[in-house]
Amino acid sequence: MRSLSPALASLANVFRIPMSLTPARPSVTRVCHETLSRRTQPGPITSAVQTASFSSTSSLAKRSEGRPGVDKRITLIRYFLHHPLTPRPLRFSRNRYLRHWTIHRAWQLFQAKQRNTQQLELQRQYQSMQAACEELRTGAGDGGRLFRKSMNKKGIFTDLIPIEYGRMQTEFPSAEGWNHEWKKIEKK
Amino acid sequence: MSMHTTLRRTAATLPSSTSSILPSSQIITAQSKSTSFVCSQCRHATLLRRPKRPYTFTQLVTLSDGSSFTHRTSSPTPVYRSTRDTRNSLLWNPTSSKLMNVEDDEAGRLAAFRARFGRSFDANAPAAEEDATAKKEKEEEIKAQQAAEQQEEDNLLDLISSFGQQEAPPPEKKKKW
Amino acid sequence: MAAREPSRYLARGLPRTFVPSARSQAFLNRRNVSDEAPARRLSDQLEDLETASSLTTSVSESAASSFDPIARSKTRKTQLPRGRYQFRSPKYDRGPLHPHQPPAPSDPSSRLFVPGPFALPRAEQTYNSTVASDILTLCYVHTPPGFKPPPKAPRLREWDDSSPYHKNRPLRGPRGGDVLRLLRKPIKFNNIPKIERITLHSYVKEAAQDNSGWLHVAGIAVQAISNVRVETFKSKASVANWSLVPGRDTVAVKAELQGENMYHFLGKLIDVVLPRLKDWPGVKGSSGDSSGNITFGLEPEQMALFPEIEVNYDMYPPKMIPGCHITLHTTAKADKDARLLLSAMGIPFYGKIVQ
Repeated sequence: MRSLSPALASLANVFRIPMSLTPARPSVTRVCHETLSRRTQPGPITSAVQTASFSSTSSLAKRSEGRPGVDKRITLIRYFLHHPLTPRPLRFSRNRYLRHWTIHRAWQLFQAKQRNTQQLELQRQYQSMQAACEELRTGAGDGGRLFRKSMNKKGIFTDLIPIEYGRMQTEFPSAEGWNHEWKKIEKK
Repeated sequence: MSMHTTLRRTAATLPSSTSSILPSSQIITAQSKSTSFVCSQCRHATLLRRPKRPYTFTQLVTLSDGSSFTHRTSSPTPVYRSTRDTRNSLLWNPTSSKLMNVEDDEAGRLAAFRARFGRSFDANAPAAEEDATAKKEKEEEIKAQQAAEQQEEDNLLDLISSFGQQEAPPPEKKKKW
Repeated sequence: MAAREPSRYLARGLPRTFVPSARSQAFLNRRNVSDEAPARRLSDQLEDLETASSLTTSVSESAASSFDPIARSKTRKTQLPRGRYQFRSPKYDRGPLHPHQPPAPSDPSSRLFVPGPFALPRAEQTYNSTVASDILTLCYVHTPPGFKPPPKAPRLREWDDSSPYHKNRPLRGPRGGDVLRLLRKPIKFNNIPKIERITLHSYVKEAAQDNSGWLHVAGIAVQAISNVRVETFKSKASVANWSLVPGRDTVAVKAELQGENMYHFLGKLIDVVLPRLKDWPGVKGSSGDSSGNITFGLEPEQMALFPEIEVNYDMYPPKMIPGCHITLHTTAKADKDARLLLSAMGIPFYGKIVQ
């Protein structure tokens, strides 16, 4: 059985979690069970980390007399919040580093291209909209009446987009599928 | 407490991207856009904190109408079935006849039943209500129209639609030719 | 009458063709939306594939015999680092003039490296495929070629030179308050509003009165629903009733979501959490800071409806689950554009929509 790492041991000390018998990295469920079960069985806790040398009662039991004990769930939350384990930086050898770099560059290039095509597509839509409106304004032959109607922005910023259309895509379709027959109900 | 404060964090991210030697004023101006706190003179070494990332799982969420999607979440349950979501709540489907529990009365059987057994307020209540609401809504519509006409976009419309049409023959003339 | 119809159309259409127009040349080669969009067929993509495999080709004898990597490496003047050489980033950043520089955060050996993205979130896909072009179409305002809008008054006013002291003074702010609002430009294809980041913020006033447990529970609850480590903040205000002292008590917790985390959170929030709120009318129509950021709040019992908290609800002290404010930061310059964007993503608004 290996001993605890100093960081973990000090953490266990702070939160008073008995860890003398746990393996190097205590599993989550085990820590939870131990801490939660301690609440149900009161009594002298012999495995507490620090015991006063001149007292028969453990320091924990003595301390819990004076003030209400801390909720064990909060203790657990603190434990997991302050856990020192952080993903360490990746260390690659030369070849693996080159591989990583190549893939990373290719991915960046791909994304840049994708962004560019999206932008160009939007630009294309915008320009064809512009051309259509210009045609409507000058060439439709009704004195720009249709153009004025098409430029009417009434209700766009107050009624917003109908909430039935404000649906995000899902990866798998629903049982009924998309309701193509749906029409906005006109107000009477 | 390792939920670190703002000051620490900005100091950690501040000069980290300087792989080449840049004049320090450039670095500071580049960073000051993103953060409010600017360390103008850092003579000490700043700790590069490893960012803490909670472990995430991929979860399949199944909505109430059978559509499903995956997302990254910190909850370890692999499949989450929701009973109440955008597909069956009235707020997201204000026109759905299923959720509004409007009775489906195509053959007119319900109306016939009401006419025979129903009481008077049951039979002719909706028609009277409709008239009153229609009047109200018409007034509101007129008001809304007046308000909408004052929008800033419309002010330019007169200018735009007549812009540049002086050199081309006006459309009224075209009809006469 | 019917026989005359075509001639009338002809008479109307004919002179239009003879009107000299500079535009008609430019529009000859254009494509319309109704045309077929540039999509590559599968057969085109299959043609790009090479038919021969590189594994089957034979290597010539001379190339094989001349391949001597050891000899080649000995001819190098400076040797490459060892194959197992592993760079270790310095733990501290000692300033731009120090010879030992930490690598860029995008480098995998950097201590600040964050891998990802791991998925293409559906909210992002929805935005790119439908929402962006919808907003572009809805907000389109036509300006004829060569049209210049009439000049507006400058936003910062000049001083009337009534006093000699006005010389070289900085310009005055706008009338009725010195807040200079963001300038809303017409929405074109390059400035369609999109969601920039989401901020979750929860202010726990009990953390100052009671103990730090409140703050820790709030921190882990916000972290659980957002997948992002939280930052803590000290109080700035002094409230005697809450025994708050500015600069002493740590009272607030904030998580800032960007990129992949943000889109996952948005999808989960809209489709799973918001419909489950009891009697929730939607986001208030007057919400927003008039520069395109919309905020709404969740009560503690509403926070508990997030599937991440619900799954192990027993592990949180039920009284201590915090409420939070959710701010959706968009790149829109006015609130009305931000509302249009959010309603396209599926957030309902109620009440009077304030522009």
